[in-house]
Amino acid sequence: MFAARYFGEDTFIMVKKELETMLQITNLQVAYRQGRQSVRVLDNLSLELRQGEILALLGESGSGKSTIAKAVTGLLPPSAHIGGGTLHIGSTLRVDMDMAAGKGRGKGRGKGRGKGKGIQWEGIRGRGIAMLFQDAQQALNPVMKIGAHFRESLLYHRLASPDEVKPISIRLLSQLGFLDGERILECYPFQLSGGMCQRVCLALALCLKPAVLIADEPTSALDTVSQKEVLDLLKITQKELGLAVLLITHDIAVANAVSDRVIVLNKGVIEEEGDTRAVFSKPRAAYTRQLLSSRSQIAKPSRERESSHAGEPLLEIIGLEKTFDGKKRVLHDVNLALNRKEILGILGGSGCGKSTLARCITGLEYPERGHVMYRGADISRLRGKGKRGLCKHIQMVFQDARASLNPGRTAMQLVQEPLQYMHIGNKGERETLARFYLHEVGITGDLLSRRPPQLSTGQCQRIAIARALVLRPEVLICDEAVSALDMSVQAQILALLQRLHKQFGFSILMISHDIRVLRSFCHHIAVMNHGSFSEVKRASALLHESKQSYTQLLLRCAGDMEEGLY
Amino acid sequence: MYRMLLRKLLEAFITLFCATLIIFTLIRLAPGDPVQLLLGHPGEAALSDKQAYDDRAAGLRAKLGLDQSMIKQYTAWIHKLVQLDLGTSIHTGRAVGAEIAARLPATAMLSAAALLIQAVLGLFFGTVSALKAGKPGDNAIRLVCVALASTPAFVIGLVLLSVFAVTLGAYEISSEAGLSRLWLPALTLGLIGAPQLIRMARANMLAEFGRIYVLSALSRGLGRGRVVKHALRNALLPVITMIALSLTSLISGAVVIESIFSWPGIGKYALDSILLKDYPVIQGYALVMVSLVILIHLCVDVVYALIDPRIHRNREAGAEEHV
Repeated sequence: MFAARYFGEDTFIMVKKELETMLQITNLQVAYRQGRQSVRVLDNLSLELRQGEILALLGESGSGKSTIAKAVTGLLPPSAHIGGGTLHIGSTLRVDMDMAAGKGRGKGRGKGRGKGKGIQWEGIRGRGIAMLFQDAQQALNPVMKIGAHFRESLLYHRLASPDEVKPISIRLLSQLGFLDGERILECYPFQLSGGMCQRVCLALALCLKPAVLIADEPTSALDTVSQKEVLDLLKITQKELGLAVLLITHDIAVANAVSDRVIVLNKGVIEEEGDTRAVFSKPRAAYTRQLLSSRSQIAKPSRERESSHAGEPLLEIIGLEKTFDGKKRVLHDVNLALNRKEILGILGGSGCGKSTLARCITGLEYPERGHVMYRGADISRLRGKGKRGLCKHIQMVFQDARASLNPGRTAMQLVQEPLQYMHIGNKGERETLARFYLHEVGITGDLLSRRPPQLSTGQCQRIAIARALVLRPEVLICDEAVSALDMSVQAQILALLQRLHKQFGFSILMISHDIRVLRSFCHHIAVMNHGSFSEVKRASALLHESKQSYTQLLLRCAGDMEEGLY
Repeated sequence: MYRMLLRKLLEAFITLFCATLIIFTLIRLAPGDPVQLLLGHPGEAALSDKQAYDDRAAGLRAKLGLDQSMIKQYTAWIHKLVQLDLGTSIHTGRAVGAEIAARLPATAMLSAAALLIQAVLGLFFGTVSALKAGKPGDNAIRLVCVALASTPAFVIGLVLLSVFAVTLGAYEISSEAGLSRLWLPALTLGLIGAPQLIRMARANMLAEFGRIYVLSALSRGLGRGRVVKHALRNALLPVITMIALSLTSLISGAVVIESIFSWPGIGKYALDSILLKDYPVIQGYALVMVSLVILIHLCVDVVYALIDPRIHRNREAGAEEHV
């Protein structure tokens, strides 16, 4: 019966009351305890989410946007303290948040959240407020089939009888673009890609018919194509169901592509609020203008940058092949040449093999066939001493800056380590060198003696860059080096890399799924698809000249999202 | 799945073969001569009997096959093993296989009971401890764990024995070895092994509670019992390894507890044989233990694959994008 009422194609009826408020947050105050100090994250924040709209909450990391999502679902960690505030869900439910701050607040890890005399969160979560998380693959229990997730949710909330579970799940999955729902239900999360998992999570959230959906960076971990796909589906289903969606994002393009209204959040305070088009075309707050300009700075097409083509290439990849587990072909006949002082971009969606290529070049993986020629010598099968020597010439910067640094070492120690390992200089010289390169990347003063947990992600990436450059390599490989960063920090790091490139004259192999980053930064862009390069073009020409359908698809996805932004 | 099992079985046979080599060599490398131990030391015999002693010793050696080269002895042993014959004891002349078979059930029963107690205590208190992390309940559990883990096994055994058998009179130590006598040694062994399991279960549960899928399950409005179940299944894998390791140490190392409770297990039999250098018995015992350990680990691998789908399914099965 439920199924027919809620999920029938024709019988679906929802009374659309355009202006009914679905979620109202009033004067929310949240602080985190750090040691003995208390850091205030949200200060008297109020916002209103209406039925049938997508409200984007735009802010950089540390702005408190995720804290809002966690606060209204009672999922704050134990170190958080709710100072006060009121929550209205739908027209009937009212929650005093400081009640949650009393007995029910953040009990234990996992279980106690929402128990006790405070708020009955279990009644609110799921049916009242549903949530989407950034990393969808991690948001599904790895040892449970997709079908089991649906079964559990539907049966637990008594929304279906055991026989109805399967048809309901399949119909929901088909709404979200899965043509073979039956097969998907039998899959485990690890058998699906990130984009597919996010669509499954969306179906899983929708099966409970929530009043409000909070999507916390739902597409940040996805590549451009799946990002577009998930956002489109989110928008379509939202319009169909008249759902109220709170979309939390750091990406202006995401907010621009799907939201009706936008709230710009900075350090726990609302800077600007209004209609999405109006805010982005005529930003009133200085902070919004700053966000927009750092984005356009990145997206600005590059000018007057031509690399010298003289002589033989510095790094040449010939016919590289790599398979995993003996069957899964990751790289297939990859050919590429990197010239001296050139910046070459590698563009591709997730799973196209671009990271494996980087690992083959740096000797972290051994290819089955083909050669990686560096200054005319094959380096792809070096072992032992030869491989270690390679580190002096080729260095890599990783996506997750914080995870790539040993959390127990200070910035100075981290940058000195490669020098020690390579037996370069004495103690004093190593210190001077480390200090010089850290100064070049903008890490000075008391930052030198801090450890990664006490630094921001951007600062961590600066240290990682200094650590890579301290050996004076000729080739720097940046594997999604700016993808995890905020827009303004992204712009800073890219500018830094550009300056260092000019100053020290190394070549850069820039791997990214983000066409904007590459277009502004690289001389040439090689487009990678299914383990091989479909084309290599001059960065400025890619937009107009490319006839490859895959490149066109990438360009279209990126272009659609940015429409009307500049 | 079946292919994995087949491969594991093959590996098991190779391991078993290597084990026979190592067992055989090590026992013969150890000092001491079984014949001398059997006949008494030659120095004790009068000088005139020396010749007779030597004759008797040589005769016995020949009879036991100990005068032959190591390689011949080894092949003879393997030849018998293939026919599932563990040989006969030098000392008692009884068949080793039958002797072990008579004692193994008692030890197996004790180990199984102890393991059950360990697993129940470990998972229950581990989960409770994780749920109450940082609170008095958690602290109390951890304190008891440290205390238990740092007390020698025989002390725990003796204390329990004096409390239950002497003070309370609830335990009859001299009765027939059966279920009524099993519970106290099993409890003792369970208490000895529980702390490490509790600590491990707690650490794993805490790690799982921090995962996003737990937040996600909570955000779907599931109750706490449900969510704990989600986490438990993921936290179980390392705990199972621990339980298996603990089972092997239980079976082979319960000697102390067996003697305190005069439990007719295999431990005492093995210990006596080692002191007498009873080659066939030691070899047989060691081999049975190795086989058991291999078997247990085989079971663990199967259980692993049952619990964690990632182990026997490969990624490709459903990985193609369907737009």
